Amino acid sequence: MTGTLTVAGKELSDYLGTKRFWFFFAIIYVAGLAAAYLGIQGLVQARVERSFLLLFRATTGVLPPFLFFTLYFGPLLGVALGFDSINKERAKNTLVRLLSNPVHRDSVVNGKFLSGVAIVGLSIFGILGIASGLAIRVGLVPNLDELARLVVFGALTVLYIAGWLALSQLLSILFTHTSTSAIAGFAIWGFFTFFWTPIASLVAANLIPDPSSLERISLEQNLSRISPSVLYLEAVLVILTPTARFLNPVSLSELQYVIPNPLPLLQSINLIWSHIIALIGMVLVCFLLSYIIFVKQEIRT
Amino acid sequence: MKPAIQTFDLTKKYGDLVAVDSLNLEVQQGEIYGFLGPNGAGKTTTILMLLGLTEPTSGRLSVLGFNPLREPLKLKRLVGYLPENLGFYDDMTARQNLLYTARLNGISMVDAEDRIRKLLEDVGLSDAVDKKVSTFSKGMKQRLGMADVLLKDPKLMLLDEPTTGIDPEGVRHILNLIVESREKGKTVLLSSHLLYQVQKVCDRVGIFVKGRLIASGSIQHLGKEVIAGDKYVVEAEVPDATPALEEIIGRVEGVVKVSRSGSTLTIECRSDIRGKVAKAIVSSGYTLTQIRSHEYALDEIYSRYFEGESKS
Ligand SMILES: Nc1ncnc2c1ncn2[C@@H]1O[C@H](COP(=O)(O)OP(=O)(O)OP(=O)(O)O)[C@@H](O)[C@H]1O
Ligand SMILES: [Mg+2]
Repeated sequence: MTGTLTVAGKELSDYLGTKRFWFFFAIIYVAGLAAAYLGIQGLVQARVERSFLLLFRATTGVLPPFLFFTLYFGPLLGVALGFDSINKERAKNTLVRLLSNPVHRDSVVNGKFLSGVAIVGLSIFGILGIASGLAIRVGLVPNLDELARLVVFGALTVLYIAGWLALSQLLSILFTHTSTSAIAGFAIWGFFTFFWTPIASLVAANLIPDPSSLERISLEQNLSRISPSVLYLEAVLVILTPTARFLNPVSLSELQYVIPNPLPLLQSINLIWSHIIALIGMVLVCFLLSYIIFVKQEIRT
Repeated sequence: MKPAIQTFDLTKKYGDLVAVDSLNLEVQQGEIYGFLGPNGAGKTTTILMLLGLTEPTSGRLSVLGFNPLREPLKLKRLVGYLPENLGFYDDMTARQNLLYTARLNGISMVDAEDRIRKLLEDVGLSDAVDKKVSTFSKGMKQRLGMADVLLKDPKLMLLDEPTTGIDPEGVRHILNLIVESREKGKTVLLSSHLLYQVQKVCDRVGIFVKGRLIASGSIQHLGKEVIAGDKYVVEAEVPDATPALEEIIGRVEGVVKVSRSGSTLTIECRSDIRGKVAKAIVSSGYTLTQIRSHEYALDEIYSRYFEGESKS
């Protein structure tokens, strides 16, 4: 454990010490705040309901700007933090020296992951905090339940991004070149965020030709849930919509018109338990593979 | 006392290539052992296996009483390793790099700061303590590597080509540090291509060829074995030497062969008969300025081994 913390501490101060990182951090903050600002704009235009949480899911288009931001840019943050974590050390010949010290190989993986998660948490909760400040200024004061939901939303977002971080770390173990692992990471991201949902409906349509059949709809839905972004989006929509009582393929705009009778937070969480478990499972699988592969790997260059 | 390093038929294969072939090595505690051998002979592979960084294909080994694969952390607390391709974190200063090593080894920060300052002085980097390693020359990195190894105060040091890229003054520093370590009871295993340096500090050397350890022992021992067989070699300095003198010495009882280059006579004999040879020279009216038994030079031994190799 001390090894893990030592590695994490060093990585964290590494991040905080480079210009590249601060540049990246600034972009994320600007983008996140822009998204929150657009959310407020959407809210003012929509005038359906005045609720604090609506800030994060209010929409003028297809997707709420804030969710669009976490859904699409979150993974990029994860991949950017992890894609070179092990192979960079290999390329710089620091890995062999690092591992000649009394530290387990899994502590190295864990420490790097931990520092990445700390950065992600700092970014997400920082943005959420500032966005909430903006909301309060326009008169949207959250109640306790909404605040709790905001925290759960933040935690789910961190978990989602952590999954991408774990995946990109695995890639950094699998590939010796940092450029290869970066390309692989972004390719997987693109595949799941843009192509997986159409593929899922295509497969469902081929297996069950009747377009009105409920089985086809549920098959399509279950297939699409292989993608972490789908899992994440479904889960956070339930958390951000106290009135949502089921997970089904109703479109986002319809969600806003479900008869309002808000659920307590715990019941909302109950609704998405399996989603949370699945997201955690993805992180664990990436870790398990990382350990297994890294422990057996030749580390000489 | 148990040997610091013991291997039994240690073998490492990379596919069809046998990088290390049934190695049986014993390094005693408190000695400096030198690995010699051409590129690709298996020196680095052996060192990596000793540290548990590379898994042997077969064979057993014990390092400081530990099995490197079973108890890697216990072993790594006691072993300092200087890799052949040495890398540091470029964005960090020399001091920060060493502090990280100190933390990984559980050295308290107060101790670490003091020790780092002293070590960087010892390796001649006191001016570069707070410079980023990205600005370091190859030799400066190598010196920092030596400080990195010594920082953990290891019982065993595995140094893969410790002096490559270092200037002569720095080499002297490093070799001194290595010899001092022995005086503190540490064991050192080093690999090098610089025979003269190896000869200067190593108690025993091992010669690797194609994964096999073809010779192991002190330099005197190897010299006798390889070059002289059971002969004894004497060198005499005679400024006014002539071919006639060679004949005179050749007639001395016990002398096998005499050769001369300039004023130096090399005399192979069956035993140490320096007295008789000196008497013969002086009594024939020549000036003898020096007579000594021949010191084998490692490069001589080394090249003899490879002459033998290419013939067979
Ligand atoms: N990862 C690897 N995969 C395949 N073969 C390897 C690998 N690493 C080393 N080898 C081979 O193992 C053999 C021994 O290499 P090693 O690095 O131990 O030699 P060395 O004695 O240290 O050489 P040098 O003096 O050049 O440092 C070489 O033939 C090398 O090609
Ligand atoms: Mg080598």
